[in-house]
Amino acid sequence: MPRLCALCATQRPILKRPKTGQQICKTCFFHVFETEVHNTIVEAQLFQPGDRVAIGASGGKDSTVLAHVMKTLNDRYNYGLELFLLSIDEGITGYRDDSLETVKQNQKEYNLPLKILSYNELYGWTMDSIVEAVGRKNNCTFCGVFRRQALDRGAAMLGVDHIVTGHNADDVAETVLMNIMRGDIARLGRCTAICTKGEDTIKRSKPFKYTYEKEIVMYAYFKHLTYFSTECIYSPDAYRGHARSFLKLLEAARPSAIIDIIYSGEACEVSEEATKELKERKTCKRCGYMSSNDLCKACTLLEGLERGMASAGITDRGRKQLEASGPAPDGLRTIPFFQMNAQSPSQSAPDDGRDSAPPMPAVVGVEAG
Amino acid sequence: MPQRCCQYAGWQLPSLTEDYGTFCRLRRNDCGVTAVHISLKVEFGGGLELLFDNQRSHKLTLPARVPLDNSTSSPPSSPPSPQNNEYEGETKPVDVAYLIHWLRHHLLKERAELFMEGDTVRPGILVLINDTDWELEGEGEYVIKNGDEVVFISTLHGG
Ligand SMILES: [Zn+2]
Ligand SMILES: [Zn+2]
Repeated sequence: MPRLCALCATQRPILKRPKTGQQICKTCFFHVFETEVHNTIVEAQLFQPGDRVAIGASGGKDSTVLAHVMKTLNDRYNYGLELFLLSIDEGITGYRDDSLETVKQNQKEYNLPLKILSYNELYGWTMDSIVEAVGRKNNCTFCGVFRRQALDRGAAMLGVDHIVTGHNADDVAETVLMNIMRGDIARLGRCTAICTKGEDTIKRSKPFKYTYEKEIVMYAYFKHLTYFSTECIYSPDAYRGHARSFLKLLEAARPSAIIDIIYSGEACEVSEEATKELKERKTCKRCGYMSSNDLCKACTLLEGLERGMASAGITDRGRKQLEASGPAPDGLRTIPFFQMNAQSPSQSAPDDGRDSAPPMPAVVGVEAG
Repeated sequence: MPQRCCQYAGWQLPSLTEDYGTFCRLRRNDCGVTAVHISLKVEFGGGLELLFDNQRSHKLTLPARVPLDNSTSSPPSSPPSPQNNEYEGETKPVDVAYLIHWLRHHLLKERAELFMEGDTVRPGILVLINDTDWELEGEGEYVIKNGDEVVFISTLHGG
């Protein structure tokens, strides 16, 4: 006797849902997958009609499926969003240049405007050149800091104040685990938030917060969405890799483990005391980006790179060495001053007399779809 | 006249020969003789193909009966015959568990630990049998039938 779909009871099931154990058919799978993301969006009140929203697009599975689903839901439920694709080109030969091709394909398929911002145009360095300078030990620190700021700046250039990213339930659970292992209580509750927003910065949301990676990959498979799936050639983040393997083992033994870990993170309400440190934010004196020190992390890293002291932005010792070696020399390459679009230029100008630094090359305009 | 197996009858079915190599496929036992080989298609995705010579699609021929312990020491690349197809130990019909072992020993080119862990695929690798989640098909115990398609997709690469 043929088994039948647990939802429609008419078609043959093709998937066992990790979240519920239900066996469901392809039609019902597409429907519940999309509807759950829609419900997540509605419950968290992520968007208002007329919002301009950028989809952080890497060409990988999560953001490829996210672009597809955001486009679908925006049309189906009349969110009234203006959607953009925003990609960061880290400058990694044979990796990012290939995956950007996938993003360009998405742009054509979904007819969404695409903006590509490169490390090279923003910082004057590519990841290839950074790795050449610092080796393969701390390159992920550079990449993480630079990407975060680049996404915000790309969004500002698009006149967008909201970025959605493809982070899925597995990613969130993995981050919860890592914060526990690091004893990072302040970030523990915060990392499960579906939407984060700094004082003057751009909102970031994770519509896939409750969506299992397995279902994202299955969705891409059954929808024939093509994505790019090569590992970054510079990413030997062994610690995160172990956390991910551990999580996958837990999931194999009990599929609800992923959602359980997310709930645990959410249940860790962090007291005001603990989060205070995170909330006190100033802006970087040199580039105007939000920062907890005089110089933001990206500016510190960049100055270290420029002055051949790469550890400046990574260790306290490195930073002290940099400070001890005197003020930054003239003509140092800096990051263009950050301003949210349409905001008053009341943000303090750089007060260190280095605002006369040569302007960075103008950014390329939005490529229309 | 019922179609007969070329292996035993000494003649080949041309249309099948093209698809499946010199040794013809039995038409689901309708010749009255037990099939000696099973043909199937294997596909890799999600970055897993990088471990398999960067080739996504593979056509394979496996013995219809295989050792119970999934030992793959006699590769089916040498033309099988009813004689050398008989293993000394106990056998079982070829299943996905055996396929995984076979792929690891005969097709995988690098970093076996990214494909297998213990006796099965590494957690985080999805398996589909004829476009159905293998969790609905008995996972490794699924007995492979002629013409089946098995897809392995890694979820561990990229975001
Ligand atoms: Zn159904
Ligand atoms: Zn700065």
